[in-house]
Amino acid sequence: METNSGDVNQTTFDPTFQHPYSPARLPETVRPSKSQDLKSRFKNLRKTRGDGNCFYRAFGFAYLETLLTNGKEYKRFFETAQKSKDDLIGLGFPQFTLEDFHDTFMDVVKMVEKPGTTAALVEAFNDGGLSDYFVVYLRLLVSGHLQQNADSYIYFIDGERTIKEFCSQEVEPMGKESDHIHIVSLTKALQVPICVEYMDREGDKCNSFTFNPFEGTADSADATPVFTLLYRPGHYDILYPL
Amino acid sequence: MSTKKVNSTATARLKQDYMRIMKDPVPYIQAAPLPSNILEWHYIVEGPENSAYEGGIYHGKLLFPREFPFKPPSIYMLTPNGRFKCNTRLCLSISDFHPDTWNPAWSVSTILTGLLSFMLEKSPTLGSIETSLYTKRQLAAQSGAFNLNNKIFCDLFPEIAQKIRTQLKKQAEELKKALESSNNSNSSHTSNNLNGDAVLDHNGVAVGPGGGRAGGPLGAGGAGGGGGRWHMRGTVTNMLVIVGFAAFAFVVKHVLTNVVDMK
Repeated sequence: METNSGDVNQTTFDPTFQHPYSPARLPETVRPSKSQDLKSRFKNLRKTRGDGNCFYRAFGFAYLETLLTNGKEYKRFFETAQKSKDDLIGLGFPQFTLEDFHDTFMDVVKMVEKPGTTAALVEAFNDGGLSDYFVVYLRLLVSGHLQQNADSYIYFIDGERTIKEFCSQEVEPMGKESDHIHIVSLTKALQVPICVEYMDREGDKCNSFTFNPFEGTADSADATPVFTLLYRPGHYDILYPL
Repeated sequence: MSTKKVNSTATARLKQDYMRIMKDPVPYIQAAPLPSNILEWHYIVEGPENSAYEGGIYHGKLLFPREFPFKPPSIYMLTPNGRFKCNTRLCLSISDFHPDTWNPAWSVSTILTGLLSFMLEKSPTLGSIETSLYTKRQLAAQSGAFNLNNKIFCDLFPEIAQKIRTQLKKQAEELKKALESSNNSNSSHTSNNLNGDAVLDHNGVAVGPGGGRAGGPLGAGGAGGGGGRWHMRGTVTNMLVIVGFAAFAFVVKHVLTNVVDMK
């Protein structure tokens, strides 16, 4: 947040899919094969800023970008987002600040219908005020979902912490990195299935994992990931399939 | 829409916070930004009833970073209070010592409510001090007069400042009245009557040296419990004890001598 530029930057497309880390951290033998694997399936990668908020920013941008061409899903999401405010207020978040974040969040969401363009979204996500407000609201949604479903998540958090403590330490503050549990919560809170490609040490190819919010329900089968993120240790970016 | 938010996020948000805190006041708390700088706020916390801080009016300030609400403010206390150091950045989960636990959804009201509840606890932190209940009460009693010396306090919170002035005036008048009515007793009571507790503490420890201060005759100040009489009595008692002890020693010596002689 030192600068307002480059949060989700259109100029840093990186179609080489090279791993940014030194060979010491990732063996040279692994990297080319994994990059090759991505090249065979994706046409481009959009970088997000590495400030600990990258998952939320990547999620928000990639999702809104898909909504530009999916009016039906946009309508569903708009309603979900609209009513999420009251749920969060019900959980005890301060009302007027929450309304403030929600209003800005909805302002960004509404940029999809105007009709919206990718360029306009890029601009919005590079605008510190809008982009960070958007991230804050996504964080609050994750916190809200975890608190409402505390019983299901309590065994998945580290240390002797309550869900509420976990949320105030690992979810709500800006810059706190996201783990598996954050992704599960956000996809469930918004009912958006996504795919994450893991570019880590194991294997010759990237491991892809689908976060399916409908798992265990009747809709489970038709949960096609709406977009794909690339995970390289400590960071999320957006992938564009061929 | 997008241009509105750029670089003015903190300003816009703090303006909203101010409107909100004026509209929905928080118990025991008042806060306002400086007219010249919206990033510097001054607050007042009033000591709640039945607490060590009852009657106290504590003035402090919040310094917000340009990145607010994404980064927390620093919190200072300016009025001596016995719980926090003055003019020192306080280390609280809601202050800039802990950007890692700061939640952007927290408002000025949340921050000050958090500060007050932490003040009422006893847990230590960077910038906290330990003092006795007596000290806290004394500081609470002196806090109003202390704050009147601060121009910003008087400018931002004129009503509270006026309230303090009225109260101090009333106290001074009562004191004057009390003094006039007891004018026929010893005039050296004046300084002691200002603070009853202090006199008791003082006499309890320092009986001996007080003797030198007592100028009046032995029988003076018969009506009230005057300090001079107490000091005088202490000296007399001491002298009696010494004389008694000398007599006792003399007797013992005499007896011992006799016993030896008898053998």
